[in-house]
Amino acid sequence: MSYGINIVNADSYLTFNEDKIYYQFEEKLTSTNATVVFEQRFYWDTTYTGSKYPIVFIYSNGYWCSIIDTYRLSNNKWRIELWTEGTKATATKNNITGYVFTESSESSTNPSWGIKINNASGNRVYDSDFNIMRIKDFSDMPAPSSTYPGSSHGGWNFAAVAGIYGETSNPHGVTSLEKPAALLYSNGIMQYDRDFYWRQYFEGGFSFRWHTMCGFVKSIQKVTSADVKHGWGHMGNNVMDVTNKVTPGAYVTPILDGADYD
Amino acid sequence: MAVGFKIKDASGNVTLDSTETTALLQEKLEKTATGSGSKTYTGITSRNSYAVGLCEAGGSTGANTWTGVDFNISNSLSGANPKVSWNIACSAVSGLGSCSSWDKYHIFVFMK
Repeated sequence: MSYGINIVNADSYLTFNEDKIYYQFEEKLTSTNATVVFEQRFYWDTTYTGSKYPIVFIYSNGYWCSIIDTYRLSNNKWRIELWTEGTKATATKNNITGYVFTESSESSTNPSWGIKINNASGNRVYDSDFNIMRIKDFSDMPAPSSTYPGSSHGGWNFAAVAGIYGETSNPHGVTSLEKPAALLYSNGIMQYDRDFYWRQYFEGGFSFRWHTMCGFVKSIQKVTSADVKHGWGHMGNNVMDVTNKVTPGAYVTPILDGADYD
Repeated sequence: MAVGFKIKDASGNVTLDSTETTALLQEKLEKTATGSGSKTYTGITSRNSYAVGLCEAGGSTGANTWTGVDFNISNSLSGANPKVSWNIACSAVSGLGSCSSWDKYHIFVFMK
């Protein structure tokens, strides 16, 4: 290192260096930021309007919930779309918390004093007005089992499914977390020929159920004080005939304590 | 606190504590297309790499939720010259989703 700041703590860990990027805490996302789309999905809209891509740690508080989409709206807010267990979108939005972190920006809550550090390219990497993202450790998020209802599950008499299938878990070993939070991002997909999104119509005095939409299954995650979990969640209560299936891989997720930012 | 320092914001909240051990974000890689690649961090002799992949969608709301993206990331945990490899792949539900509506793939590389 030829210049800049390099701080090492008593355990010989590098804790600060101007070449690193310090993601800063922006805001908490709770039920007041949430809108339910339907019973398996809701979204959060941030108040953060910066251009830097936000990453969101989820304290899931016992609920299965994963991020399936992140994009910037025309009003510059960011929309975080979430996938929940079964019919629990409303319950989930009322019980989980998202912790939003972004790359340190040029803006500041108090530009007149404090510590701001730029890197060699002149980009802000640290601003003492913001709490930095403090990762406690990492944990392997195992892929869900591929045994979620098989290729011929259901049949014409649709079989009801509920809850989470193919659940796997891995202890994370991070102790004393008051609000364990992790990056819970859905990846793999399954498609079914039918699901419960039938539409009922009447013709000639008879009632018909017209099945129009595909069933849809993706991986879904949860973090607890002891472990991380990965399984299959589904849209709808009845499924049949898998036509497309992509089993997600395992991934590593960082873990932090949401209580540090409450 | 015997050694080190803490920085507080205007409200008196600690925003940086030099005695805490936290993973540092080594680099953020931004990809605009699926595919594979790798990067080795030479000169780092006693750290393990931990990479996480996240997606950013384009402006069309909800268009991407019918697709699944897997980063297939592998990390070197040897502690010397840690290496991160990835193979970003996208699968769409036929007729309902399009992988082209993903704008960016972000790979966050942490060291600890």
